[in-house]
Amino acid sequence: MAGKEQVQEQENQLSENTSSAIRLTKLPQTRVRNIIKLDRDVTLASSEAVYLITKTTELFVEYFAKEAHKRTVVYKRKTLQRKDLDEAVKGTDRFAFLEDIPLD
Amino acid sequence: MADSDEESANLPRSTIQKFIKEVVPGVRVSNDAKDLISNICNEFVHVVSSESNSICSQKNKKTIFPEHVIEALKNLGFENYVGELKKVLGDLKTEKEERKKCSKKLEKSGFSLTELEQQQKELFEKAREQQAKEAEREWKQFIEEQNAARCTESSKSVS
Repeated sequence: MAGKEQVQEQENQLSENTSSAIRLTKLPQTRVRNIIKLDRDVTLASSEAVYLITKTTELFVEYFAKEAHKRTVVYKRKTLQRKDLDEAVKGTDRFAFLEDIPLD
Repeated sequence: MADSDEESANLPRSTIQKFIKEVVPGVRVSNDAKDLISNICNEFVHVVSSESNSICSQKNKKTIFPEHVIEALKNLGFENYVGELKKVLGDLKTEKEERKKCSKKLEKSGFSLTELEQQQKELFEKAREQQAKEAEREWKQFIEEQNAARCTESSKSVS
């Protein structure tokens, strides 16, 4: 139990500095932190690490949406559809890890 | 509640939708595309944090730090993001240092914020009182000088 308290205290200290970063991302860092904590292997993530992961996700989504949009334009549509995203995944090696994402 | 647990560990769809609108303005996005992008965001966070955690463990650390994230991104083939991320991290550190300087000053005084505010109030009160006394003294002096001047004039006119 003492170990858990220590971890909580460290977390509080780490998140104290988050307030300065918290306004700098469009996606919410608290949710990102919750996703990171879902992984049982993870003990702690510094607020700066959470900030970086949030920022990276924003960059990634931006790139991915734009890649998909290129397909929308090629097919002369005004609506970005799921198949544009699927094609963007298939067409880019780096997106391979996304291949099996199901829709809820 | 299972639902709220799930929700709190997912990026909010409305925020992601807003973000997509900024990224591809003027383009409509179908609902299943929006859903997929939401899921992709969550998956991406999982993948990056998992890789960062592996690197963190390899280095025998218990806390994931920015350098672990950066190495994770290189391993995952996202090295082209590293430059920009290092830059924003640098900006963040500068801002933190500025804040630290301000709060150190506060800590060094050994007083809490309320105590400092009280002290400030008392200082202002003292200053006001002093100012009032000074003004009164000057006024008295002025009156005396005026009276003295009148006396001299009237004695002159008599002689």
